[in-house]
Amino acid sequence: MATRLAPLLNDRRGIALPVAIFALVMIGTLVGGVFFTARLEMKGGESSLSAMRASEAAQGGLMVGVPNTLTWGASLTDGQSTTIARTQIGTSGSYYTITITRLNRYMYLVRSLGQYEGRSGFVSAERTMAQLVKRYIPEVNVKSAATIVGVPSVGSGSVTVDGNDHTPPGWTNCDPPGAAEPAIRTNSGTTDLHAKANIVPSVSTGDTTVTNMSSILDTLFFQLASQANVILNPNHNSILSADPVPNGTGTCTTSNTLNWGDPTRNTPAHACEGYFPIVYLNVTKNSGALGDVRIHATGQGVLLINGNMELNAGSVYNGLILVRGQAGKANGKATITGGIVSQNADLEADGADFSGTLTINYSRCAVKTALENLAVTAPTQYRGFMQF
Amino acid sequence: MRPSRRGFTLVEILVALVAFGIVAAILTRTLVTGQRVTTQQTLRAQMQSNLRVASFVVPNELRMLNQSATTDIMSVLDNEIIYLAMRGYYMLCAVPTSATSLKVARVTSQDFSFDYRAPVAGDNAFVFYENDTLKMSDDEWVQVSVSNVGSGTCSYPTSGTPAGLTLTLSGGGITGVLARYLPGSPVRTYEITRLAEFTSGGEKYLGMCTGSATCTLEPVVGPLAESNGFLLTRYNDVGTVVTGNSTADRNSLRSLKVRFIAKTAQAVSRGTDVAARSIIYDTLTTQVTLRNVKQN
Repeated sequence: MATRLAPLLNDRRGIALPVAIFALVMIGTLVGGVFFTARLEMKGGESSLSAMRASEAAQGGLMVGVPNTLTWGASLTDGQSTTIARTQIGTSGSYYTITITRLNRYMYLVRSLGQYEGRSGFVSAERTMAQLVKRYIPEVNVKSAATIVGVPSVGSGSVTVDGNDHTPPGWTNCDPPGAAEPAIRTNSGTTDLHAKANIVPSVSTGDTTVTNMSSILDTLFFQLASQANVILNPNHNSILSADPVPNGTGTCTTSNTLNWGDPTRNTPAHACEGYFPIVYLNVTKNSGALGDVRIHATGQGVLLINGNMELNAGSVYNGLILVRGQAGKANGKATITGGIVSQNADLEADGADFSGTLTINYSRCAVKTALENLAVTAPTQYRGFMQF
Repeated sequence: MRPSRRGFTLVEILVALVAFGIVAAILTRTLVTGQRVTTQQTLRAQMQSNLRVASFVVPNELRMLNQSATTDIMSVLDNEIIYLAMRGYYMLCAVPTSATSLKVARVTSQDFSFDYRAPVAGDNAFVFYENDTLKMSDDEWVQVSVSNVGSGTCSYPTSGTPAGLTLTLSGGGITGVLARYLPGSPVRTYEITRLAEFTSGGEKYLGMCTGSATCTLEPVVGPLAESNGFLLTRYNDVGTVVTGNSTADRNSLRSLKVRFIAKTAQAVSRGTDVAARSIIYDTLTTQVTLRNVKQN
C-alpha cells in the first residue's frame, strides 16, 4: 500500500503557492500605491507649510528692516546696498536676510528674503518681500521768519524779521531763493510791533495757516520730541551754552549733548557741519507750568523747547525752532536763519529786560535741510510693498 | 497487473474549487477596494494640489493692489476681478530731460531692478514723482504708457554703470516738473490682469489672462464647484461687506476674502458600496489684506 501511494503523494503539486505569491504582490502593490499617494499629499502639505513659514519669515524681516533702515543704511551712498546677516527667528527653521539699498537721498528699498529649513537642514522654501521706505519728513510748512500763535510783540532797536528767502551764509547746496514770504504770520488780528523795528516785507495777520501751527505745537512737537537726538531737562531760569564739538576738523562728537551741529561752513570743513540734531529742551517749573531757559547756542537742526525761550548774545542757529511757550530775546546779538514757530512772541530788543540785536531771517533751505535730516523713516504712502 | 489509479477524487476537486473560489473572491474584493482607494486618493490629491496653487497665486496677485485716490482694481464682482498687476521694478537712472523719455536701470543681479520679464512696447508703468521733498503727502505715482524700449547704460549711481533701458512714452508722458523725478526713484511696470470663474468643457475653472479687461481666459485652477467655485467677498476699512462695483466702492476696499471650492475631476466611490459614486468637494478660504493702501 505504501508503495502504491508514494508516487501519488509526490505528484500533489497545487497552485496555492503561485496564487499566494500573486496575491501578496498585488496587495503589496496596492498598499504601496496608497502609501505613495498619501506621501505625495503629505509632501504637498509640507511644501505649503514651508512656503507659508518662508513668507512669514520674509514679513518678519521686513518688520525689522523698515524701522532700522537708516541705522543699517547709514553709511550707504546712492545706489549702494548692504546685507544684514541671516537671522534665525527664535529656534525655528525660519530665517530672514535683509538687504537695504539706498535709492537716493529720500528713498530706500528694503528687501527681506525669508527662508524655511526643514528637518533635513536644507532650504525648502524661499519668499521675498520688499518695501520702499522714505525718509520721513514732517510737514511743518513754515512759510515765514516767525510764525506766532497769539499776538506778536516786537520792540524797537535792532530787531530784524525778514521774510525774504535767505541762503544761510556759506551753504552751497541750497536751491536758488524762492519767493518772499511775510516776515511774521499770526492768527491774531492784532499785533504789537514797534515802528522802528525792521520787519520786511510784510506781516500777515489773521492768517488761517497759523491755526494749523497750533496743532503742530501739540501733536507734531511731541512726535518730533520722541525722535530727539538730544533730550535735556534744564532747570527753570537756567542758561545753556551749546557749541560744536570739536569746533574744527576731526570726528563730530555727537554724544555730547551740548553739541548741536555746526551752522558755519568754513574751510576746511568742520566735522559737525553734517550733524543736524533734533534737540528737545523740556523746561518745566516745579508747579508743572512752563519754565524759562536762556540759550547761548551755535547750532543747526531742529530745536524743540517745551517752555519759554530767550536767546543770549552770540547765538547763531540755522534751522527750525518750535517753542511751546513764549519766544523772547535776551541781550546781545543773535541770529536765527530758518524759521521760528512760537505760541507767543515778545521779540523785543530794547525793553527793560531785553537789549541787543536780534535777526530772524526766513530760510526755506535751512528749514528744509533740518527737516530732511531727521533720522526717521516711514514706508511710502502707497504702492511701496512688493512680493515675489 | 492492475493499471495505476492516479488522480483526484470528486470530493478533492470540489474542496479545491471551493477553496480557490473563496480565495479568488477575497482577492478580487481586495483588488477592487485597493483600486478604488488609490483612485480616490489620487483625485483628492489633485484637487488639493489645485487648491494649494490657488491659495498661492491669487492672494499673491491681489495683496499688492494699490488703494489710494485711484485704485488698481478696474472691476470686481463676486466671481471676477480685473486689476493692474505689478510686474517689474526699475530705478530711474537720471532726471528725465524729456517728458516722453525715461532712462531706467535693469540689472537683475543687483538691487536696482527685478521683474518677471523685460518691459516691452505696449506696457504700462507708474513712475514715482517726488515733487516737494519736504512733503510726503504730495508724492505721486504718475501713470504712463511705453511705446518703445531701447537699450543703453545707466549713469546712476555713479559707482557703477548698470545696463539701462530707455523707455519712450506715448501720449504726453510724465507730468509735473521734470527735475522732481529724482534719480533712483522707482518705476513699476504693470499689466491689466483678469481673474474670473469661467466654463470650459462643461466644467468651471478659475481663469486668468493679461493684456486687457476682455482678454480670453485660460484655466489655472480647476475644476471648481458648479456655482461660486471662485468667490470674492469684499470688505472696506471697517469690515463692512461691499457689494457694488462703482469707483467709490472699489476705492473703499481694504481686504478681500477669496474662497475656492474645488472638486474632484470625476466621481469616486465612497465607503463599501462600490456602486455609490459621487464628486468630492473641498473648500479653501483666504483673507487678503491689501498692502498698498495710502495712509491718511
